Amino acid sequence: MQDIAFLPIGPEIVLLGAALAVLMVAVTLDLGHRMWAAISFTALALAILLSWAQWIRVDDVGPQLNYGGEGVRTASMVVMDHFSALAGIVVFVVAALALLGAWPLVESLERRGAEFVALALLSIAGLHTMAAANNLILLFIGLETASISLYVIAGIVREQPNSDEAAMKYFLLGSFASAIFLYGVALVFAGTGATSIYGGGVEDFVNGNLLNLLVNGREGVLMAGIALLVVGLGFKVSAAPFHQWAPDVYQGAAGGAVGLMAAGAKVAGFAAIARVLAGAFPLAVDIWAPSVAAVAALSVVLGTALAIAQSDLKRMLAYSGVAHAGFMLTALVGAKAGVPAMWFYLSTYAFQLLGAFTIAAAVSGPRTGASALDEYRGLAARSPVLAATMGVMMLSLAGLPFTAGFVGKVGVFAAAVEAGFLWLAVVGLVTAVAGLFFYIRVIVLMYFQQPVLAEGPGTATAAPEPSDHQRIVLGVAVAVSIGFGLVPWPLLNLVQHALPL
Amino acid sequence: MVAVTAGDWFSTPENYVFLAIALPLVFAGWRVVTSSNVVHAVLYLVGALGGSAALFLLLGAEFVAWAVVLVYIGAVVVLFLFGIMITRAPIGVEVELSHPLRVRISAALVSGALFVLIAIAALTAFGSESIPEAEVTRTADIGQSIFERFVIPFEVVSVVLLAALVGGIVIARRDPSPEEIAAGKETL
Repeated sequence: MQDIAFLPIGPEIVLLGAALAVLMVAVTLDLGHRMWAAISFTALALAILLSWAQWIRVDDVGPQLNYGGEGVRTASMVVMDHFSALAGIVVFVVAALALLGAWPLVESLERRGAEFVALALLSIAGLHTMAAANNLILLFIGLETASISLYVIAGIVREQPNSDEAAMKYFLLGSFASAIFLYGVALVFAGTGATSIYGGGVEDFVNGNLLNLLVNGREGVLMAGIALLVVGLGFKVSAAPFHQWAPDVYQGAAGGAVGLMAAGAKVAGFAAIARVLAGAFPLAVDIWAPSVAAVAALSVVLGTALAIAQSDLKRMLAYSGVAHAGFMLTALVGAKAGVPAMWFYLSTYAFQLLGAFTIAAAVSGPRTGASALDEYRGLAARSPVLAATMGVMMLSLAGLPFTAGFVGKVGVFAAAVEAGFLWLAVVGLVTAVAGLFFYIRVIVLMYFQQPVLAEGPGTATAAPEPSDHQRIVLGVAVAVSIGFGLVPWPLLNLVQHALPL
Repeated sequence: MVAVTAGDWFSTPENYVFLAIALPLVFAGWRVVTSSNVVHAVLYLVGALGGSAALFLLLGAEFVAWAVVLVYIGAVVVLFLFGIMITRAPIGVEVELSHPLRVRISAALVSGALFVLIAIAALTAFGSESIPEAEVTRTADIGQSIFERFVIPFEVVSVVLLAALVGGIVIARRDPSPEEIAAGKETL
């Protein structure tokens, strides 16, 4: 009998318990959505506290692998370090806010709302598993848990044909990407004989035997494996050229659900990429860094160029998300040294993305998919609060000074230059300036244009008001975007410690 | 198992067992694709899968063998049969199942190429090398490692299944209309 340390898997246990509780309560008692809210937000708060406790525990005793001792055959599956603790805090805070912003949708789903909440909790547990996994197999299973739940969440509003299409596309392409990732795991195993990241795993083999690998000729297998891992995870974070699903899915999925899908998947996806590249293969950096740089450059250029041509806010955000994925990959070419820059960018970007999608849900309705830019014409006159919030989100996404986006971009470019990828930083800088165009265009639409005359709710003459849930989300998003833009040091100090083991 | 020299091929009794399994297996596989009756094809598939399970047993991979029996014969084939019956596909000879010659030729080319590829890969990797007995994985070892080393992934897989189950119901379930709710006839 071995001891299992429950703290590293504590958040997952709490969230799984809450998901089951929501399902059981919905089946047996008809207490309505207030009960689901009580259960799910208690669980998320507990999960945040547990992640914080993990951080403190790592401060005290150092990184831990979850169980096993001297001479025990068991290997660790979950790693508890500052990296996974920070990932937990970011994922759970973002997810809690996303669920809060999705609450109008949950109410409108009536009885199916319980399943939405349960699936959201399961996906959140899966997202954190990805960041805390110490084994590529567990990472894959966490990825699947999150993905399968998110496929359903994308199609939760069934009477919208767009929503069906979004779910179907996400499911088919996502399964394909998962299969590619799994193939990558198999090839890494073939190349190294291990799947665990730390402790007698992939890392040790690479550390000790990279030269031998060159002699044995198995390095090729390992390289192919790493490449497939990057492709699979690149799909999940919608980096070009694996981004084609994102615009359709974001546009088709219900407005209230997109925040969780987009922000949650981005945070966990990048945590997983950083863990795999900088955690498992830091010594193979010369092998993977050029290809990651190529993907990053393609993402920023393609994302920015395509975002300019969009006439729907959610599609535009999807393409800008491709560009942002490129910026974060830019930081990762520096391996471990780039991880703090990635964390700063990622944790602030998630809030901005969430804020922008919440506004889209407030303007176009929580169940609707499309959110045409025309609906934002003259929004400032109709809903000053929404317009101002949207303005802040756009400025921060564009990366103007005094916003968190600016600090994030500076850190990302600095990391790339330090890693010797000056050209990548230059490409990023140019596209960041070009990207100003489509972010500023939204502000111009809202403040300097007259609404298109049309009748009925959801059209450009309506005066949308955010619900109380959405107000909280927007408040936090604005606070993060401006607060960490003016005073970035607390977060910068925090992320300095959040390196993978 | 792959004895390259012809001399001792006939002196190894295992090879006769292999032949006894492999020949019906090939026949069943052939009939799966040539049979013009869907149900017959599925039943031949059972034979083919059973044969491959027997081959795994012969190799000492008992866990894989029983997994093939349980998962493929027990679940997948039954799913096929259910699928055929629920979708009310005509049970009997079907003309549409016979493909034109060029489709058959290309299918034969593809499967032949795949066979050559796998055969070359297997022969290059192992040749006439015999696998030492000790390296044969026993079911007990697999169980040990699932419930010790891989216990957390194993548990998380059940979460994946739960998510898939709940998701499937959410997507497929019909919402009751307001009249049905009023009449108390709710469909879950």
